[in-house]
Amino acid sequence: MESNVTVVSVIGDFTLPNVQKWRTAIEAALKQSPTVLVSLGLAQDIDLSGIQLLYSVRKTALSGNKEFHLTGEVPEIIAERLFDAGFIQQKVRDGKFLESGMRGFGATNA
Amino acid sequence: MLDGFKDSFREEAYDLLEHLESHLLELEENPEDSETISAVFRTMHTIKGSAGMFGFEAISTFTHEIETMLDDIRQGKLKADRNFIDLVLESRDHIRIMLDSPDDPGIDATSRDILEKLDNARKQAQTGLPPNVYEGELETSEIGFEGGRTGSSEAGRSVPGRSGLDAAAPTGLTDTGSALRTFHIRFAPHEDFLSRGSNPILLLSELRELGECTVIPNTAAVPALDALINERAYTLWDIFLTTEHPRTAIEDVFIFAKGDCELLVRLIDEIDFADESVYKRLGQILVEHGVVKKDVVDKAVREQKRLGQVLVDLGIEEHEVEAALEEQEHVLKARRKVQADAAASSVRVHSDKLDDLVDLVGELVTLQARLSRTASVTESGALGTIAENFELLIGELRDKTMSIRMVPISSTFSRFRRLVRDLSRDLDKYIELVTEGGETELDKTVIERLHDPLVHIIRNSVDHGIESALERKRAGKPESAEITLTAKHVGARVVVSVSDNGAGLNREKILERAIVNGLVAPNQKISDSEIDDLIFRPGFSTAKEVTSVSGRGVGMDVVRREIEKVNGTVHVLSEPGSGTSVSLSIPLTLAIIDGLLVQIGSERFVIPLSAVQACIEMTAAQVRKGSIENRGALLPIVNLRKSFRIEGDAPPLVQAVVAETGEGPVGFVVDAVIGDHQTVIKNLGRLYQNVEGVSGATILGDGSVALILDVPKLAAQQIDEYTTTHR
Repeated sequence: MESNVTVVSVIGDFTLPNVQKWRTAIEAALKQSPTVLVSLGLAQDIDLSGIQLLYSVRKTALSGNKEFHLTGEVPEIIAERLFDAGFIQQKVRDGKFLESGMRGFGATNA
Repeated sequence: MLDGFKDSFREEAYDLLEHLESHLLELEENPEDSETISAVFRTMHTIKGSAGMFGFEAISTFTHEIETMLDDIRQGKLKADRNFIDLVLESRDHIRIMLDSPDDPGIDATSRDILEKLDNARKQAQTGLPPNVYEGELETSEIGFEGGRTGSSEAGRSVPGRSGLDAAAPTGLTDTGSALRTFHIRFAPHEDFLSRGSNPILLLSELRELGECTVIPNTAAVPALDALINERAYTLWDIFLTTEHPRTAIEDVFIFAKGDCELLVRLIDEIDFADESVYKRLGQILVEHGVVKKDVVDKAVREQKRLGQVLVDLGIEEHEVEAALEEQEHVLKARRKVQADAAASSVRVHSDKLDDLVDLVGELVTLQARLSRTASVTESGALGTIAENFELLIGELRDKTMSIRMVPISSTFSRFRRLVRDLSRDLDKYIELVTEGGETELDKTVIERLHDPLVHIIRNSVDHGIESALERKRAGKPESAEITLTAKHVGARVVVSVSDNGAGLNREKILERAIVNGLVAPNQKISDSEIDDLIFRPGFSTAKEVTSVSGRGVGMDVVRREIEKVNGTVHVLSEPGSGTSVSLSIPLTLAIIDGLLVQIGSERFVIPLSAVQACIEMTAAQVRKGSIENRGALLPIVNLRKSFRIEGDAPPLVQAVVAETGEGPVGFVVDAVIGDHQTVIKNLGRLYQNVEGVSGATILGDGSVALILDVPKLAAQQIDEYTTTHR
């Protein structure tokens, strides 16, 4: 049975060596549910490949009439990486604020 | 009131002239460096503006002409060649004279003479030089374009041409010597950037350490999942960085990514403290970026909508508009911050006021010593507590006050660049001055006392130390020689060294001259270091000819005397064929020092603690022997009771305070060591200023006076006697 919401919780590194694993999980969730939430609460690191995956998923979700959001707490290291790379202007620690604060994250849907 | 402003102007102008000289010397080394050209222009511009404001009309008029020429250089119409640098340096010296002696009747004639020379130089240079020679090189640098972006046609990922902006240099800015600059950096990693193991986030993080940074990623090219390749970099960045660091520091961050990315670094602003106008308007920025043509902007303005929205509607990349807005906001924010910081961070105080403050703190230290002593004598617990707290506060006040007078030695170092340049030119030698440790801080009074000795040493180095280009070539050395000026902290002292890679001291000649002058007996055996030390003897010179640079037989003895006056020591080290190094070891301050209080009979003396190595107990029999053993070495001793002719008998057990004298350690025999003492140095006054062996005095807690010992002087005679006896 298709559930309404699927949460993908990223545990460990969200970086190039294992980004494919998380991509597969998110793609599966998108097929399974109309709303997919990705929690970064247990992520230990993120690099550009992980960040680009989030943007790509967002773009895909919108074109497929799905909802995709970030949720949960944002670990300090993740906030720091996103801030250093300019994706956020403040080191927010909550997924909801992270999503609204990420540059171009909304625009990706547009 | 106006006189006060005029004095302030003079002080600022002196600082600006120092900066100007330093910039000009930099320009001589890098004549095409646009940032240095701009800095020279701005400094002259500031002098002109301020001179006019405070009624120094002659300076204002004179600098206006120089400024016009500098503007031609900035615009690439003229080239900053050596002749030009000479003339501007001459102008700089002339402005200094105009500041010092505005009523000098010869000033106008000299001004006319210099301006005529400048005019001639300009006319000469204008013939045959293509206009805008610097165009395209002024503001941008690009690395890593080889190969470009492979197979990428994503929107917004190319680096557009910036020719329209590149030629536009910031104008009319104020110089502060270390201007804040804002750079626009476009960083576009190649597609395989990630798969080659590079991490753009770490580079951006490193970049942030250089200054105030606004980082804007452009993710427009990130595709949907069906086209996404995990290993591929789709993102590019526009970064606005306000920093004191030069462009090279930015490029260095990306040095290991060179070839794996497209990088554009361009100067977009320098902070202008005087300019209150707004930063470039959005349309101007976009036109300069080459993103949109001016007529499109004009059309948009006529539409009366918000410009950014109109441009997006007209098909301009939204990211480009956002980046331009971010640039605008970043620069304005940086300017506001600098203005606020500049207003709040420093005040200019006349040095006399600082000297008065240090004197007052000195009085307080003396008073505190009296209070502590009174508390101890009266055995009052309450008073003792107050005295202890007072001592802590006074200690803190003393340190803070002394730190205010501390200035980096770079201010002195920078003056020597000109000295070396001019001297080496006079002597037709190629010499580069390298400075290290310019950030080392010293009390300003010590720095002032260092200037003349350093001039002597550098002159000697240029004249005698460095060989001619031909001699260097014959010796297999590079034609260009090097003089290195170094400063570093060593304990409570600063060691300033002047080292050259010249021929080294000619010991044969030194010895020959010393024998002729009767300083050394014929056939007397002396060590190499003793021969080297002869150069510090009065009237000693080995120069064949007396030149305008050095060689009159005065100099190095003056150096030693001057340095000893500030409780310093001088050492020379030389290696034939490789060079010579002269080191000056000087105390950090001349106002308050840590001393060791000692007693002989009823008299008390202070030995500078920085020189003290050990205290050793001695018997009367050992004192009679005239030497003492310390750590396996036999040291000469100075019996201070005898030196100062203090009556009475010494106790059976006395103390030898082993102190470094510059000629090796010496034991100074005293009756007892009382302990450490915060010593406020007082001058002895004119009557006693030539008394040898005493460098000053201090007031003790009970109001009595203790003399501060001049350790090197006291030791000198004793060492001579000792070495003669034991040879």
